Amino acid sequence: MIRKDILPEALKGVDFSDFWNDDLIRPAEGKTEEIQCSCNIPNLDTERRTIVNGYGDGLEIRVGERQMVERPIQIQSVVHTDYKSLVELHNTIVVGAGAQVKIIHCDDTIGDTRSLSNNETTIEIGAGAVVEYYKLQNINNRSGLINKTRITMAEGSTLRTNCITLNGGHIYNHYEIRMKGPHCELQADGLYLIDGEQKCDNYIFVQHDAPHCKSRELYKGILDDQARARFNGHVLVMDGAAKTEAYQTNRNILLTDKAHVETKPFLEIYNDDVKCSHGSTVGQLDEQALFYMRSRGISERVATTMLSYAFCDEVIREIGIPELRLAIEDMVKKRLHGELLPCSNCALQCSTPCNGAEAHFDIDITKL
Amino acid sequence: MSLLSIRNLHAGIGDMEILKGVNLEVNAGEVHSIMGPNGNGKSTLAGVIAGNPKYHVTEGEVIYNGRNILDLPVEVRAAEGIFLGFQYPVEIPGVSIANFMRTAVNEQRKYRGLDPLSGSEFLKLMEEKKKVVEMTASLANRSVNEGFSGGEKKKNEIFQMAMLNPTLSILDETDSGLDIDALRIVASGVNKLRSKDNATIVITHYQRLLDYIVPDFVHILYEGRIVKTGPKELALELEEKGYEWIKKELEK
Repeated sequence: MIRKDILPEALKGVDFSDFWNDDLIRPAEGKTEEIQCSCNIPNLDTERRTIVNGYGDGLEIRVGERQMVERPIQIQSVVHTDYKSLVELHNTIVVGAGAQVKIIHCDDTIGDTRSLSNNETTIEIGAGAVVEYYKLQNINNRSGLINKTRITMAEGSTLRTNCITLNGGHIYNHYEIRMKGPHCELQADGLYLIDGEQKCDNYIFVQHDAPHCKSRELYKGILDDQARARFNGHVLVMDGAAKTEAYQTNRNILLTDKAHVETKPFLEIYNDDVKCSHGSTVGQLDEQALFYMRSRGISERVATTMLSYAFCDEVIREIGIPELRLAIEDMVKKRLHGELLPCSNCALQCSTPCNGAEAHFDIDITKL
Repeated sequence: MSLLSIRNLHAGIGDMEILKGVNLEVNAGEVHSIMGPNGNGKSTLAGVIAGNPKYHVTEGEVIYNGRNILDLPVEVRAAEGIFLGFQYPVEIPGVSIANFMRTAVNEQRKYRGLDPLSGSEFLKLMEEKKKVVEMTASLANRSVNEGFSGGEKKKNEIFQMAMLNPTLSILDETDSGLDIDALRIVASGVNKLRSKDNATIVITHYQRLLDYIVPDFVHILYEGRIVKTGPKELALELEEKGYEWIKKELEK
């Protein structure tokens, strides 16, 4: 049995009880060896580690001051095991002042073995640094994923993050972002496409400590069948954070009357000199648009897919790596067609890592 | 045999009956105009023929090409050659016109057992059909009707009609909100698409459009029925005497 205390506060009311009752095996006991987490850091003098153990270990990326990392770095956490497994990874990313880096963080599973990943990532962004951090989640229906990300932003830094959930039994994304210095800019987007019995929770907490910072959150989700999602957004504007701009939006489409979403945008403001807004919507696809498309000869199924994709486009087009954007466009389209095999044809090629060998991380444009 | 034959059509929304026994025969090669005051069922008739699920048919039939189409889904009616030009074209953010039309053209081709058009064939067709309504803008990156002016939306409707090459086109108040230049372009587009094999039903509130699209027949739809049918001169008479004249005629 798994002790509950190893998954501490990150849970915050999220019910993973399904997994408690399962005899998940700790990799530390030496029974799973194919859990892999590694990274490719081109032209970058930094620590590189491949983890075959997967329990309590993690990855550390350090980008030096004013270092420009041109090619994106991909972190892949692929759970590939024949045993029901628990994975715990603690990753640390430190970006020096004035540096620039783009990071893609994929969570995948190979096969349909049950697993639970409890991952924690800490990101420290130095003054004036520009960071893009993309999460792409595509795990099997029997597995769970807890992704806790703590980010601190120093003066004048910029972060763009996008969390895309394509598949998974139960996924919980937890962000805590603190803007500690003035003139920071944050754009935090999310997209979740879930169906069947899948569950996806997104919690995002943004704290404005300093003046002249901007934050924008846009989370969108499409839920089919009996899927369940929650959005819980909290923006805290401290009294010293004058001239703050903070916008928070969550939009949901329910394709069936059994799908369920709970949305709670929340602003907590202790300064009068701010511009803030929040909003959330839960609805169906536009009936008029559906009729319009069908009246041109487009079948209801295709029209539904096109409208669903159009709904997602607002989030996808914010992805700043063109190859990644195309790959995700493709994966989202396939997902909406119900065709997605776990990462099968992903241009990012993270579906075929082998134990011990160096995995291939470059984005393969020929596959796009 | 008529291309379209509507017999004793009763339809409405919810419990409200809007069409109360419409009869209409349209042959290939003809242009019919349906006029009448607002709120008397013109748009409902267009919607029922196209298959808008908002309306419920309670009685009667709509025979198109010898087949009752009332049970056919919207997209099948479209693939069978029925086109509805919308009074209020719908904005679809995130779907480009090119992608929208390519999907529509290829879905219709699939229905007819034809191979889909390749990207280059499609682009060629699109460039050719843009000329019908003097469209110059690149359509590849523009979302369907998003941010379009009233005139652009209506031109876009006729452009789609040109792309899909329908047998029966129903243009619902295509003239509303158009300035005179846009009206001329839209009307000339419709005229270019006329042939002996297709038919057009022009729904309008004003006679103005009929100066450009000359109908073979004018029907007056009033309180859910076609109460008067005549040659194109009927539209002029109606313009001159107003709808009050029809009401008085009916009271006699």
